[in-house]
Amino acid sequence: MQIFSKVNNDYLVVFLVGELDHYASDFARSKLDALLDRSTQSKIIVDVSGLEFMDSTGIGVLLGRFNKMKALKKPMFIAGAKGSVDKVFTMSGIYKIMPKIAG
Amino acid sequence: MKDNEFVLTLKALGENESFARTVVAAFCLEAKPTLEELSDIKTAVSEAVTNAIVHAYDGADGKIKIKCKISKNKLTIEVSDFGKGIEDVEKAKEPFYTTRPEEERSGMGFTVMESFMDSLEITSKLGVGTKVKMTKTFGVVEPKENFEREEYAIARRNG
Ligand SMILES: Nc1ncnc2c1ncn2[C@@H]1O[C@H](COP(=O)(O)OP(=O)(O)OP(=O)(O)O)[C@@H](O)[C@H]1O
Ligand SMILES: [Mg+2]
Repeated sequence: MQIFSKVNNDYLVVFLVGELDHYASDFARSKLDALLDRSTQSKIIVDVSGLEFMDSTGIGVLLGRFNKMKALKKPMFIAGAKGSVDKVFTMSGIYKIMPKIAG
Repeated sequence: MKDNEFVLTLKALGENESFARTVVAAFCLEAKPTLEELSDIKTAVSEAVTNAIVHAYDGADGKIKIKCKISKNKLTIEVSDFGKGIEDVEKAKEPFYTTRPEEERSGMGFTVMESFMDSLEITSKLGVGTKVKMTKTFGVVEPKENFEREEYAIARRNG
């Protein structure tokens, strides 16, 4: 998978592209941590419109990042989930803490 | 379409997760699933295979067996491992139950399998292994849609 970011005013937007499963999760964790740790923006959007596949491993990865950002009082949002990816997010209740927003 | 089946044995490696779900998806194509059904199946297979990789062998070498069968429009998938087994299956199925929270697991795997497939059956024996059996029937028309179709047919008949 690929992960990159872009700054939009006070938002850091991180784009997840490809397939996020257990195999990709080590890379996803360290890449996200690197991007989030050095960001100066006050809010974070995780844009998953390019994510073609994700299983429950992805929930764990995002919750882990959420907990770190919570300590820094930086809210996180999820944008662009489609199909099964959106269903997995909904099922896990993650939208209650990382609200769904338009991309 | 004739009944069809395959059996595949894989090493329990993360590298094989994508391969496993892609093989099952390709096998299903003949039964003409919708894109949504196909991606639900891929997700459920990924959950079962990942569990065997993450939980069954505690990092030691191991094998995963995938057995897949299509009969008419019904798909049956069995994912087996020969690892440590699950102590309490009912507990393992509960949403958010995980024995590996320190690895940032969410405990949603079985919940995902259960809701993306029509049925989920887990057989497990400590020290022997775990078998996850799932089925899904393609092209099941929702009752509501059925009703609308009937109404449409009646409307057409009546001009
Ligand atoms: N093949 C298996 N062998 C041994 N234990 C298993 C196996 N599959 C599941 N388990 C046990 O059942 C628990 C629940 O599994 P489930 O897939 O629901 O969650 P998880 O794998 O812990 O987290 P997630 O799937 O969200 O990453 C696991 O934490 C593990 O203890
Ligand atoms: Mg799991």
